[in-house]
Amino acid sequence: MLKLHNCKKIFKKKTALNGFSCEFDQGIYGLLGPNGSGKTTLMRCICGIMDTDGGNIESDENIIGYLPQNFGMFKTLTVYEMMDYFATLKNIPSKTKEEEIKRCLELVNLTEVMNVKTKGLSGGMIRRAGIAQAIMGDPNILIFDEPTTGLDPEERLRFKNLLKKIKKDKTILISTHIVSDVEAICNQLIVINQGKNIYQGSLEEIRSAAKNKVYIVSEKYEDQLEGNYFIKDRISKDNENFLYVLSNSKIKFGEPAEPGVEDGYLCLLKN
Amino acid sequence: MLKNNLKLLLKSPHISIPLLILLLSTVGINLYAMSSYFMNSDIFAYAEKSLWLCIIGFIINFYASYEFFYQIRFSDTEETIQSYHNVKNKSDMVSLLLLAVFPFVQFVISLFFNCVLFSTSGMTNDSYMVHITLVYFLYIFLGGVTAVIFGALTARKIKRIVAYTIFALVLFLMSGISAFIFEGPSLSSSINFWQIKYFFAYLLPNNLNTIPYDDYGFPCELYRWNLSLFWVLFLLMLLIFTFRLTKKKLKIISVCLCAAAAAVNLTGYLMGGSHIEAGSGIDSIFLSDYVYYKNNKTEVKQQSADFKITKYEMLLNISRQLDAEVTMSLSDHQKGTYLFTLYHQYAVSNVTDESGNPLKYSRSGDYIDIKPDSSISKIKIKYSGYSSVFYSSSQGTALPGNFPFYPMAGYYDLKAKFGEYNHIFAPKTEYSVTVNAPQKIYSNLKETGDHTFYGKTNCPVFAGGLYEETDSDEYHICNISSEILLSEEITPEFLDDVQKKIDQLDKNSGIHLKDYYWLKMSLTFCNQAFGNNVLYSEDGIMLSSVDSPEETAKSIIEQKKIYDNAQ
Repeated sequence: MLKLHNCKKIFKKKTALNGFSCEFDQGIYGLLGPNGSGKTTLMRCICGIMDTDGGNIESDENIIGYLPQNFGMFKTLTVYEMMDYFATLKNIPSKTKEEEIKRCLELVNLTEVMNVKTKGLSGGMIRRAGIAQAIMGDPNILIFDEPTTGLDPEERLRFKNLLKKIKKDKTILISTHIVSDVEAICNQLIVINQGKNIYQGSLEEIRSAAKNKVYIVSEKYEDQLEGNYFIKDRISKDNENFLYVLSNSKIKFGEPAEPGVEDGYLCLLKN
Repeated sequence: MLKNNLKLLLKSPHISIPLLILLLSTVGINLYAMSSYFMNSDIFAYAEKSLWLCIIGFIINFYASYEFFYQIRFSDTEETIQSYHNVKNKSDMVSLLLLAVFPFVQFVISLFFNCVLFSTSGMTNDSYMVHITLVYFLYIFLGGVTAVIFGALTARKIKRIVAYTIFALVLFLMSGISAFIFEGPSLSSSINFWQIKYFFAYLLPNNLNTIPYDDYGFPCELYRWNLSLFWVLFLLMLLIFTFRLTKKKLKIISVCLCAAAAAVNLTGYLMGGSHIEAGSGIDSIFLSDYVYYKNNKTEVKQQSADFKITKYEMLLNISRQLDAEVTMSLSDHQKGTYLFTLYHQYAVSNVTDESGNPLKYSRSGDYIDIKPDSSISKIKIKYSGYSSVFYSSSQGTALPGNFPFYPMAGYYDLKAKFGEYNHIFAPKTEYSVTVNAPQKIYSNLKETGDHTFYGKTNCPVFAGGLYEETDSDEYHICNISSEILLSEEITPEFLDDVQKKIDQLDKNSGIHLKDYYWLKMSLTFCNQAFGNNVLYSEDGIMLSSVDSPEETAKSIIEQKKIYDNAQ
């Protein structure tokens, strides 16, 4: 169980967290928010990398597995030596250390390169190594900051599969701006904007936030759009161009469409 | 954690190779220095060569520390490690300890070679070993640790180019090169540019090429320890300050403890004290007084006293500097003012008569005028300070009686010329002296008890440092440690030869060498103090060279005549 109550974090000129409150139970949580909304700051505060300037963070766990946005390793060490380095810092007993390192490397499919120097790894492999160090010691809370950034589709799929393997009895928080990842991985969603928790709920609930607000409109009516609307996409169908529009008011000349998570997310932000 | 950090260090060739070179050069330089010792038996030449390691060590230790912490900082592992429970600082401290092992190993290797030399060459004088251990610890170990902490701190906060620029500047200020560069402008103006070096000058030995006094050894005075410890603690405080500790109280306590200890050492350093600088700094033995007399154009006075001092009772406390209480018994006074000469660096704090009543006095440079309101029989003067040439410190003492480290009756021209003063021989007087010093003090006066001396002379001399007494049933001899001294030491056989020569040259001289206390002084000391290689007084004779019994015999006869003719 992880509880955040009225957390505040102020940098010199910017308020990164502005009374953020939230409760996490077991499950995979997606943290969505625009750039600079406070996602990384929030994660750093949860992991204890930063102190909050107000509010409190309660957790039953001492160990939190964390994959930072910029994860790196010492280039002169091999993958195994690097994991050994992390394992020592994580106070994993020396008796079980080797076994644990191998287990984690196997989970992220890096066993084959464990004796290769880290400077020889691809970006995706380094991310996976980062995930391996995060899950080492089997922490109950896992926090991944932009884990799929820079990964190719195959790697992303692998990551999703990995989460399925490890998610049991764990609280996992994933920050990302790739909504499709959230849809595929998470069962709960938190939207952060300007350091505040503006939404927390299931994927269905966030979809319903955009219910009756999504329309497909022929491009020829673009000039006639009125009120508070947002053109999310332009699509072509049967040699005709259409606009994918989010609007608070009903569009008479538009066709109502089924909203997705991204629509719900955008509606929350735009409102 | 140590093992992992060691692995990281060893697997980083840009760090491990320079450190390996450092350790190999420590062995290599010591071997080279050792071979040169076996060629010319000069222990200081050996130690001087091995001390170059402290400069090499300072540079490489800084580099290794900076690069090691820089590697950690820019490896993108920091954030990951910070997320582990309270281990980031522990890991950094372990890294720091690991890097501090290298200066320690350097220290141990150098000490090991000294021990080998000590045991194989049959040395017996422990004071040399103690001295060299302290010197190595101060310059090789503490100097290296300073560099390690400095490197760690800059790597955490400063970009590479800026960090190395700062380091180069610090190194420049520490070196003798800057002293040499600042010398010209300082001498040609009234501004002492050397002050720019003030907080860096003594971290490493300024000048390794010159050992000014054989009986003093390498500069290792208290204030140097203060400066080194100040930097270690101050940099450590800043380093801890950069740590993010969850236990804030622990951080505050650690920072406060370091700050307090650094402040104590800074105070100690600012207090200064007697030192001996052989370099080209404005503070050196060669320039310090030359600059003083050049800049402070006080009137040079020469006037004999119209009174006599019949007895001196001195209490000389020597620690950082000389703190003295000198009581003079007076006679034959005719005028109202008592004139004295006392070296200007000794600050007078109190002048009283025999009853403890304060007396009016004025001070101008080396001169003191005391104007009692009524007739007095004694004057007591309290003063403290030090001379850059004739030192009085925790490490050694060299106070020759023809230099006014005590008030001398009358005005004398003391003007210094590049490390030398005019030699003043006061009238023969009775001396009763107590000297409290960290080292054993030797004198040409008779030692009458623990720390006390008594006798009659025109030049009381007090010396302490790397001396040892020579066992002889017939003679009382004290030599500069034979292992250190390159020239011959005074031996009973040599004195027998001198006695024979004296008897041949002047049967009526009345000189019986067995009645005297013999003190072998360094040539530098004798030249600077007496301008002669022999100093004769009733109880003791000081020699700076023992090359020729005949020349020594002639000098002793001549000096005795001068002494006997002294008032």
